[in-house]
Amino acid sequence: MRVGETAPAFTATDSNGKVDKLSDYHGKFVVLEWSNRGCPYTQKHYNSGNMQRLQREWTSRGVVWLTVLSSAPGKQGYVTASDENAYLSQVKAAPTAVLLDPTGALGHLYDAKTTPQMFIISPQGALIYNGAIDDRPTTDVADVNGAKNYVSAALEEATAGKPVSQPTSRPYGCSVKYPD
Amino acid sequence: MGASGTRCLSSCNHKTGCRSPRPVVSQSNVASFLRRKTLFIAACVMLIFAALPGQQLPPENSHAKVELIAEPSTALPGRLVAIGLLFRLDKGWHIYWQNPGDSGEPPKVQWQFPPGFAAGPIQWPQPMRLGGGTVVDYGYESQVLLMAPIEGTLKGGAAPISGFSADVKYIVCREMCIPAKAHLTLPHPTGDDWVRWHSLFEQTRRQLPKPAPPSWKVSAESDNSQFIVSVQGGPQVQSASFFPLEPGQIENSSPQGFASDRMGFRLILKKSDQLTKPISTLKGLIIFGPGKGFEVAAPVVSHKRESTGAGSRVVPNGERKNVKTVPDIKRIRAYSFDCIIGRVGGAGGRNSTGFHRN
Repeated sequence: MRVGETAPAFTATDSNGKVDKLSDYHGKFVVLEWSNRGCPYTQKHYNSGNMQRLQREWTSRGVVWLTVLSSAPGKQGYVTASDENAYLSQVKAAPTAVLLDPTGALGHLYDAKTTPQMFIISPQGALIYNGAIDDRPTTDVADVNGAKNYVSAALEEATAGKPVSQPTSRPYGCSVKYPD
Repeated sequence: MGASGTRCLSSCNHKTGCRSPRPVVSQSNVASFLRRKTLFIAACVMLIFAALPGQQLPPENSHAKVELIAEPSTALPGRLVAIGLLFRLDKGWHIYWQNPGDSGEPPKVQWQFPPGFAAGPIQWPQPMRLGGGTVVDYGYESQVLLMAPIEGTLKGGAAPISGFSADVKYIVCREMCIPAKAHLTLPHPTGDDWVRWHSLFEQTRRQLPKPAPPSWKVSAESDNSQFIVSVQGGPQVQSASFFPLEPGQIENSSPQGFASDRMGFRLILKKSDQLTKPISTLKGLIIFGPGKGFEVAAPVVSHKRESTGAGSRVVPNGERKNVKTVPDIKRIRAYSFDCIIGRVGGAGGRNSTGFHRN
């Protein structure tokens, strides 16, 4: 997926059994966060509370935040809906919804490669960011403070009507655990 | 400890085990004798220190063991010219090249050297391609030595043996990833260590990527979707692979097109979706096989050409004479590091089936 292109339409079931469509959110900024709770790069952002903080801040500002789980059954990060809801409550995560993608269809549609890889879609449906969460490609919790958060930077600019000055970066992390 | 001491005394008594790994001076003159004798005594004295705490290895469950080793100077016995991190990985687990590819990260090291000495840059051996789906990484399986020259400002050039340590952070992956870190100290080497270390450095050095010969004319064309790297004046080859030095420039998982003619060959590389700005130079390795890797820096010329998608300009799939795709990961895997300094795990080399995502 290249920035500037129209973000492809999708339909997915979330951890509450609700069917979510991208078109449901037309007119709003949408963040897609690829996640795998067993991945140490993802854990850096949840154990530090960074991801939850971002989710709270941006959803409170009207942004739709969709966490996507593309781990295949039997692979690291695959969870059932009830497991996921218990986990969200335990770590106090606050996404708009968690999309369950055990076939990897949504992941492949966006060509998500890593967790945590981040995408931002404009209210008009164009992809405006595709890349890493920040500029510290490590697993160290200590690296969260002082990192430049690309997602917040892009959303600050975009919500102010400005172009995103850094629309891509290398999406560091673990590989998405797609089916073989 | 006790075993080392016994072996030392025995070896030294027989005057066989504490020699330099290669003859220091071939002529049998007094200087050579003294030099050998000095080395022999030094090596034996060092063994006294074998009882001191040595390597601190990371936890057993990390699937990687890492050891700090050093290369003895052949000119100045008992002194060092290079240092290295020797990784030994459980079967199927890997660490990463300087450009890790789509996921993972390269090992990071902070050296601690005696005053007056510093490390040069790490000399990264040829990586292998890891993974087979839409996520492709570059790294090492089995065993790899990441070596760095010791640069000294003190008179005499080579470094003493003691006082070297390193803090290393790395991530080791198979289906999952495990971050690890270790504080390593250079152990006082036994005579056997000298031989083993020397051999590891020599083997690794022979297999490092080399600068492209000056006779090669390397350039790259860029359009909307791809780079075409052209090498003229190089060897006549049937295939080649490009390993990008920088992340986010080419699509690592895309098959690379290969085309050859009498002038040379071209590699067709799909651009990464993350690449949104033009680049002036495409840097990387061109690899023909084990020990046949060359560093290239191709100046990039842009063509504003309408593209209908990847591979639209140079057909990468058999519709053109002498053009073929290079999706054959098994073949690329044959460049794997097991050809460089040998597999520790034995089985599971080239015939191993799984490609590991991290």
